[in-house]
This record gives sequence, structure tokens and C-alpha cells, in this order.
Amino acid sequence: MTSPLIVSLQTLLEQTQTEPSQKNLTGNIRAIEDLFSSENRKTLDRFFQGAFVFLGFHPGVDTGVTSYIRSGSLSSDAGSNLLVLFTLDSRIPSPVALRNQSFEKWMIVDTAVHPSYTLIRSMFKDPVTLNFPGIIFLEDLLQNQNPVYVHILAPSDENAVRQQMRQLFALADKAYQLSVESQKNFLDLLALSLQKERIDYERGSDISAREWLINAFRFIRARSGDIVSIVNLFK
Amino acid sequence: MKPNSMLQTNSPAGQIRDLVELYFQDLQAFGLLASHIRPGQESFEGYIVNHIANINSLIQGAEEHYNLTPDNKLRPILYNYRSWPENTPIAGYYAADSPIKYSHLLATYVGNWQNEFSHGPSYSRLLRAALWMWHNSGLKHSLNYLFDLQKYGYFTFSESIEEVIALLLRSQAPGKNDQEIIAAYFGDKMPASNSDWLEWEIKELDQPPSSFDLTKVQPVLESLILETVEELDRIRVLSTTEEWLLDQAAAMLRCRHLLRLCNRFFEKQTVVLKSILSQFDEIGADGGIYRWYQHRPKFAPLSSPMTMQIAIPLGSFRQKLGEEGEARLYQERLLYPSVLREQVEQSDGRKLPLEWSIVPPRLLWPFAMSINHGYLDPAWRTTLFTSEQIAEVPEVKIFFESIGITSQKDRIQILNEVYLQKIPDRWKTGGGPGVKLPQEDENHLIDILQKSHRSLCLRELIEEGLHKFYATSDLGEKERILKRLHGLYPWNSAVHLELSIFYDESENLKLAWDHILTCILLDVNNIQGWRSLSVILNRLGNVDDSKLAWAAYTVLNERMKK
Repeated sequence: MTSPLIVSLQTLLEQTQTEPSQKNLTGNIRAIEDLFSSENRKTLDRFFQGAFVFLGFHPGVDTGVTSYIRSGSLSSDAGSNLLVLFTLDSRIPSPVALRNQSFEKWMIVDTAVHPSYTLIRSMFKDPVTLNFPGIIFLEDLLQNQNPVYVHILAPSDENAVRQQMRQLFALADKAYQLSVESQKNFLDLLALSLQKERIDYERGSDISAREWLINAFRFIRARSGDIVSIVNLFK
Repeated sequence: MKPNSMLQTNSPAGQIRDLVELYFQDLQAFGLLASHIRPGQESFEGYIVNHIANINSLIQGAEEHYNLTPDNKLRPILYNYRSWPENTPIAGYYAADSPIKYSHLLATYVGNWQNEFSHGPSYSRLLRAALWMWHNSGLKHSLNYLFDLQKYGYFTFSESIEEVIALLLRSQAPGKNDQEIIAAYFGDKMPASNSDWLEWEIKELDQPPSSFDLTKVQPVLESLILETVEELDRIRVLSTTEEWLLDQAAAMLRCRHLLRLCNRFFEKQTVVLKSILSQFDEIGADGGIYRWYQHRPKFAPLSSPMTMQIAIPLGSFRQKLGEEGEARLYQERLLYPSVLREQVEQSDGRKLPLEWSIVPPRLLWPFAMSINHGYLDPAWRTTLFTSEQIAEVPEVKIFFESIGITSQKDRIQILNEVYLQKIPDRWKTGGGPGVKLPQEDENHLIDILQKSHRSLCLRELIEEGLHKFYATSDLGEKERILKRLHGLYPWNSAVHLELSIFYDESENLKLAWDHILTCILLDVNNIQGWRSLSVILNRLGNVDDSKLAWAAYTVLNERMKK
């Protein structure tokens, strides 16, 4: 049994992109823009083989989602082919044990302008139709793509959230594996399987994931927050 | 670690025990700093004989006549073979009703260090204590206890801590429980009484290293890693100079050990583990700053490591990250506490408040006798004189005449480089080469500067400082002189004595108490210091301790008359 840790995405990216022999006075530290530069493309590809999920929720309102994350099963539910990201109310400069992290600071934010909602809306031409909270699927962090968004149905109910997340993660995992075998687009395959299961979803506009992520970092950091993932110290 | 204001909450303010606790902080500091830079035999003996020996007599006197007992429950304890109370645990932490006294712990410290000097790293003592802790509180607590022993300065060979931890982890044999593993070290029998623990022989384990259970090792190392991350956060918000210096020194060692242990045990590491270990690597490497002290000339002020460590990495971080540079540097490394962030940001890491820019006076002895290779000057000045001032000293003038350098401009240029250690202007402006001394002459000049600087200091401190202070009766003038001397000569016992008396007479007992403690720590043979200590203790209403201090004063006085 290993402890889940909350880690900033920036920390994870920094760690994958430098060979030990190239360490200098600043170690692996890089500005976000540098991490996503074209020189780093190869190392970014090495960073994580799989698809990405961004979870947009309001900790004070969507209490079921918050409890679900706190319960610690998120990273094992997502499996090894999906990396789940979400926004947090404070900077996470070093990995923090999940149990020690509170979500309190953003509890008081007005629902209409919660940062994570704004980030998701920015992927859509007509965001008014979106229902929150929800999760967005990306095939990687660099390329142009049309993300897939699914609304979380019963955000105050932890068990309902868990069930729905597990179902969605399972579908995404299958779609990913199929996309690798068949060389077809992951998001298209995911959309198809959601249709088959009669799960409502929205398709985002053609966005550059790289630009979106850089802007997301800037936006969140300006509000003293961070984009984080939950990882285990040991596999 | 006790905070700077040593006043106890449940007993009358100001006690002899405060002084004893400060001495134990001193011992802690010596052992901990010596783990970074091993002192030579001479420095070690100098520290013991000139600084600790007299306190030993004070402690024994206090224990005999005044029932002095320790108090600090954070302090780890460790047995020794010379004097240890019967039926007492050999390891663990100090507990309220324990028969363990300061004199026992002092014997452990000195015994351990002497043993290390004669025989090298003391694996067996550490192992014995660790096994006892494991048996009583579990493996995780045992390993934390080992780190605490290191933090509290009980051992100076840091590798011995690491090796014992590695040994304990490797002895996690599959299919055996903790008690079986521990007993195996004693030939498959578990020691029962405290004397068993003290006396039974520890046997070599014959199981080959490869048969240990990694699934048992992983959770233990994992919690050590996470606790270290939390510890770093705790240290960053410390606000006293002594606590910062010591906890930073301990953390650098702890990070280094954990990094190496993880690399030994885990070939495959997750991205997040690599990220944490990479941070530990940087923090551990920052400990290299202590090696710089041997290159500094003797007249250089005893600056804190912080003054040399921040500016350069801050520049690099700012270059890479712009405005975010300072925040990142603060969080990634352990170079300065949060109370200094604004100062660091504004001064580019080059200027700190005086208190933080020097080695704390209460840690002068342990720092000087380890990191500074045994060289200690009670008349150290916090800043150098100007080149113009030092150029006027007769010996310096004679030296320059003897090597034919007559131009004042040339002399100042040379002094700027050799005395003030400034980067030569010509490196920055690419101008003419100026005058450069051959190495032999430069070495000679440094020796002369050492003596000249010191003579200027003594004149300023004694003639222009203390004598004037005694000569005037104007309180405002007295205060002005003292404050000036304190800012320039904070490591001087006489200055603190006068400050203590001054505050005592102005009825500021708290400051009087703080300064008299520092006075005695700086010079345990300061006879008048002991006298003042007694007076102030009496004023604070602590009659018994006042008598004890008076006894110490009398003994020292008699000794001096002989």
C-alpha cells in the first residue's frame, strides 16, 4: 500500500525532461513555456504514454467529487493509461500527501467563475450549453484536437461519482488501447463508445492542447493555484 | 529545540537549567557540524578542554546539591558505558520521571566522540540503540530515532547512520516477523532486562543481503521520505537564527542519506519519486558550503553560510523563471527561512539583517571548532575596515615599502583584492592589469593583515570602546557605545557582560538575562560573568540557582588567584 501524493504537473514534466548529466545550478527547474517548447517534444512524449483527463469541479459545491478525490482511489480507478489532472487552490511546489491537502480556499468562490470551469469553457465555441462539473478528455498535451467533455451527473453523491468515473475511465481505457492497436484517433473512438452507451457528451472546438495548457497554467497561477495530478510514490 | 527566550513556563523565570540547556545546544551543534566537517584532534580537544570541561563541574555540582534534572522531551537519549543509571532504557527519548541526568548525557557525547576519534565510526553503539528502539517502538520509529541522534550531534561520522539504516532495512527477511529479526542479532534470543540490552554481544547476521523483503522496505522508506518533505516545510518557517542553522545542517544530511538509501534499494523509480530525490540531492549538495570556510582568511568576519549561498542560485533561478525565481528557489532548496524572503528578494540575496548574516554568537564555539577548523577569535569584527584604514597601520606600510610599492593608489588596489576580497576592477572593466603581487608576497601580506586587522580591532574594542564606556557616566553615551560594540563585536564575552549589567541596571531583566547567558557561553571562564549571573538570578527571585552561580564564581576566582 503506497501513499497517494498530490504533485504539480509542472514538477512531473520537469523531472522527465533532463538527463542527469545536464544538471546545472538550477537543477531541473524550467519555466512552463520552456517545458512545452519544440525541443522538449521528445521528452514530453516520453513523459506519459496515454491520454489525459482534466477534472473541472467546484470543491465547495461539488462535494461528492471532492470526497471522491479525497478517498484516494482516483489514480487506481484511472489506471495506467490515463493521467487525471485537476486544479487546486494553492501552489504545490513539492509533492504533498493527499491526506494533508485541503481544498478549502476555493470553497468560497462564486460558482459562475470557478477557475476550472473557465478553463474548460475556453475549449468550446459555445460554452453556454455546458453543464458543470465535468471531465474533459485529451489525447495528448501538444497537438491540435477536439476534446471530449462529459458532465458529472450527481456531483453531491460520492458513490455516484465514483461509479460514473469508473465507468468513464473504463471506456476511455478501452478506447485508448484500441487507438494504439488500430492507429485510429483516440477521441473519435471514445466519442463512438460513449454514443454506444448512450452517454451524453460534447465535442470541443479544434484547440491546440499546448496553448491551452500554457494558458491554463498562467491563469491558475495568477490565482495562486496549480494544476495537479495524483500519483503514487511507488508503483 | 528550545526557543531563544529560555524562560520556563512552569517555574520562576531564569534558571541555571537555561544555561545548561544552552550548553547542550552547543554540544548538539558541535556534533552536528562536525558531521559536515570533521575536526582535527586538536580542535576537538580544544573544544572539550576550553569550553566543555568547566560546565561538567557545574552540572555535577548542580545535580548533587540542587537536584538539577533535564526537561526537554524532544531530546533523544543514548547510553554510554561509563556512567548510566541502572535499569534505565538505553535509548529513546527523555521522559519526565527518568533517572537520566545531564551528566549522563554529557558522558555519552564525549564518550562517543572520543571513541570515534580512536576507532572510527561506531556502528555497534548505533546498532544496539536502534535494535532496542525497534523492539520497543517499531522500525519506523527506530529509523527516525537514528536521524534524531544525528540531529542532536551524538555522532560525527554521518555515514555510520546511513550504514546502520541500510543494515536494518536489509535484515527484513521474508517470512520473519520483527521480533525474530531483532533476536537474530543476539543469536536468536531477545534481551529482556536493560542490562541484557547493554551487555549482550551483537552477532553478525549470516543471511545474504539479497534475500531481504523489498515489500517491507518500501513502506518504511516511503514514510521517511514523506516525513522529510514535511520536515523541510517545518524548517522553512523557523524564525530564530540558532534553530535555523542547526535544523538546516541536520536536514542537509538527512536528505543526502535518504537519496542514497533510495538509490541503493530502488532501481526503478517513479517520476514523482525521482522529483523528490532530485530535490534532496540539491539540498544535500548545498551542504558543500561548509567547505568554503577553510579558504577564508582569518580576519574575515564569521559570516553565516547563508551570506554565501543565496545570491548565485537566485540569479540563475531568476534568469530561468523571471519573477517566479525567488519563490521557486525558496521552495526548492533550504537556503533561507520565510522571514527573510522579502530581504532576499529586494537585495538579490546579497544583504541580510545583521543577526542572520553572522554565525550566531551562542554557536560560536561549536562552529569555530568544527567548520572553521579550530580557529576562533573572540575579537572578530562583523565587517572589515576600509582599505584606507588598514593601509595606515605601520606594519602594512613597512611591508609595502619593503617590496617597493610606494603609490597609495597601488596599495589600495592590492588591499581591495587581498584584504576586502573584492573582484579586481580590471576583470569587470577590462582595464590595465594594475599591480599584482607574486604569491609569496601575497601570503606574507595576508599574515601581516591578520595581525594588523586584529590590532585595530583590539584598539577599537578596548581603548575606544570599553575604556570609554567605563570612563563616562552619561547613560545615553554608555548605551550608544554598547550598541555600537555589540554590532561590531557580537562574539565578545566582555561586550555581552557589559550589556547584561547595563540592562540589569535599567531593570530590563529579560535582556539582562539573555546577554549574561551569551556572555558565559562565549567564555566559560569569564569570572565576572558568573558573578553577574548570580546577581541577576537573585533579582529574578531564584535564590538557589543564584547561590550555585555564586559558588561557581568563587571557585573560578580562587583558581585564578593561584
